[in-house]
Amino acid sequence: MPEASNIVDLRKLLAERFGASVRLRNATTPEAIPTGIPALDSLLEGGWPKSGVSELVGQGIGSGSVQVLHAWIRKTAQEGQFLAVVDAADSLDVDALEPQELARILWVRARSADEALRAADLLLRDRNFPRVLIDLKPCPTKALGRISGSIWHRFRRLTEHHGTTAVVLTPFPLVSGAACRVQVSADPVLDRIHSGPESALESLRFELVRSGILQAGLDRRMAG
Amino acid sequence: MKEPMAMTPLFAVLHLLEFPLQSALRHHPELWDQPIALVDPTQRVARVIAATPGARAAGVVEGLMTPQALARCRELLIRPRSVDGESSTMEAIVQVAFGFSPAIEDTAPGLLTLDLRGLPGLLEQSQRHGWAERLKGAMDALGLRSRVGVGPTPNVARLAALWSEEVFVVDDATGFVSTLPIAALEPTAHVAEILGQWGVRTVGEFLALGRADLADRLGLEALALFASASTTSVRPVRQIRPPQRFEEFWEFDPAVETLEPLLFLCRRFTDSFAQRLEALGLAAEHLILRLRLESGQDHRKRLRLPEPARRSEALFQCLQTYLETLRTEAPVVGVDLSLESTRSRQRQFSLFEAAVRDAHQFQETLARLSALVGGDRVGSPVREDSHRTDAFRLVSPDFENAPTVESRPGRWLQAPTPMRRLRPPSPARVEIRVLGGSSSTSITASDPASRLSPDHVLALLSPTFRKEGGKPMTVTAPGPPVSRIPETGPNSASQSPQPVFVSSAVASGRIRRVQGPVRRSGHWWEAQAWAEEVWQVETDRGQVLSLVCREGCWTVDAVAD
Repeated sequence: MPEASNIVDLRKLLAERFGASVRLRNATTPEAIPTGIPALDSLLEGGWPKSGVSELVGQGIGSGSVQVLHAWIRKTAQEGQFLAVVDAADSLDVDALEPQELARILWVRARSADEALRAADLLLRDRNFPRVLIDLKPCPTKALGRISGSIWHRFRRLTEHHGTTAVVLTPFPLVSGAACRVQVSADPVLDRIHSGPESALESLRFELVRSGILQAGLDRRMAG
Repeated sequence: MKEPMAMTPLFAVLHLLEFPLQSALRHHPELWDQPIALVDPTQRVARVIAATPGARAAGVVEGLMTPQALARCRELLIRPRSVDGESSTMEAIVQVAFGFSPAIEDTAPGLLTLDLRGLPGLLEQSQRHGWAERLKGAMDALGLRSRVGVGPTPNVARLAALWSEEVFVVDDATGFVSTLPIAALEPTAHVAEILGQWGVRTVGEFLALGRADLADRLGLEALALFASASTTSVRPVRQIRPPQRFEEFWEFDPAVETLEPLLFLCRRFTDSFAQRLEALGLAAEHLILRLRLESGQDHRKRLRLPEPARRSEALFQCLQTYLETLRTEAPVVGVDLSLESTRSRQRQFSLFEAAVRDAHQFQETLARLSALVGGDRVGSPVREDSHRTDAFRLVSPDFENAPTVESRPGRWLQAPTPMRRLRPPSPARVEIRVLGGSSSTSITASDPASRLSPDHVLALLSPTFRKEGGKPMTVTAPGPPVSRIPETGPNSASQSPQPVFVSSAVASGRIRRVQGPVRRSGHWWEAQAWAEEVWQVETDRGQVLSLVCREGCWTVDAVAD
């Protein structure tokens, strides 16, 4: 058996001999925050990446992004945590949430994408909010197109610094440098809507378009 | 191990030089570099009672009348003496000094005597010096120039504070007193002149003459001077309790119109409060701000801190956030700031529950969000006790006391499927098919003329609908069949007419499936009576909408998204 002269060689040696059964601690994916949807958690290896900005893209009306949003609110409330919801179009469905869940959200009812981003900036700078959701999906395409890329860079730095999990709902890929980007789609059939939220969630389809964090973890594993 | 305590008599005296002037300039120490004279406005003839070094350099001394002082120094600023301000300053000094000794005597304006007997860590000379340095540092932080003397008797400590360096700890009391000038005993002018003629310059020379001989020649005053020079007699200290009142105020001259000077002053106020609260072991619960305006009006605001605090930053942030959003009608000529104190609280968070890490920061962020989007658009939603769709209000978030959520299976089954709400609802044109008939009716919400009364709508929706009252309604040809999802709720009306086509800014198309209607009403006994009929429909383009009919007007209230 060859000898390992240093820790790097030892890692290589272990990887060669035992393969995937040996998973080094520093090569694991970062801590994840469950989304409340098992299928999405499975896709993201646990949930939304912590300390990063994730993007949920739902193209067109009826994509299912609202279902994901409410599922995360419910999951957050179940965990005894709280969530800041920056609602760019003031469109949160209060009737669909229970009073105990509503008591655990801070809802910012913005009037535009610009106002929502400024509110999100304040929330991300405040270290009190571990989870921030920014819903930009109903905003006009023109307004979203005017958002500078530096804003996402700043949000990314803030989330990394404060350990915040931020999720942005958009109608098309918008967040540059997102920790992960998930596309959601659904068939908003009235039967499913009528059957309740669980049925509506089952109809959602997710596609992991970009996973910066997972890629970084993979890179580290390869390097290790 | 128990710390050794100073059991031998030990006293300290804190002396604030030119106390009225210091009190007047406390919050603006940079004014000491300017020629400023203090006058007493209560006197019939305004005379200078104190002056800054700059004014003295120009020849302004105590006793000059204001015109005389101005004649000597053209740039001289005249400031009125404020008895209230001196009282407030003295309160601040007592409160801070209480953190150094519990036995304090308010000996004279600007002069405090502290009994140090029983205090730990004052056995060594160096320890006493360090203690005195800390006391002086605390006064510096209040913006006050002070001298501290420590000695075995109150009298020796007072002489040390008055006649020596900024901080002086008397080791050899007899030797120290002997070297003092005779003026330290404060003799009358007549006795001082006699002693001067005798060639007596120091206290030591005076004491060497002998008590009995001096009494024979100078009378009773000699005995009083001997008592003043005593290094052994210890008088009792008249202890006072520190007031639990926290007030600071300032008059602007001229009035200010911008935020910066106000914030600058507020920062000084909160620094002072923080220091005083710390000394007393208290915390601020409310801040009471009063701005005196040039128009003669007052602007008052009572600011509640998110949790009791004594940190200057926390107090200042609370003020800053409020002042940044404030617009007054007139310039500000004065500001008063006071606080209500309470005992500081300690708490332990639940192991798994999340809590706000920094309540002050949280409150600050909430205030900034309110300034950004409006106070009525930030908070935690609470559903109103109503069956009306989308009836809620926002309250200030209280995450620490938020109820826990059960994670029982099937909990969601009772919850409605979330949709994306449209606020305000989007006006819609909806075609309704009347069951049992061969026609459908179109009502356009955007047309004011088509607004119908609730009774009219019910009549419209009833199978026996007839056109009445000359209202503009369009009868269109029947469309393809629309499937209906059976209703199970108590408010269902499965036999009602149903929408067959919708046109709105959000979505348009022929309706292929409907669910509803759900009829709700409330407050029918009041003027704010309301009634609505809610349909969930699916268009031929696959969009699921929530259509609501209120007072004959159709709107799209929500879309499945």
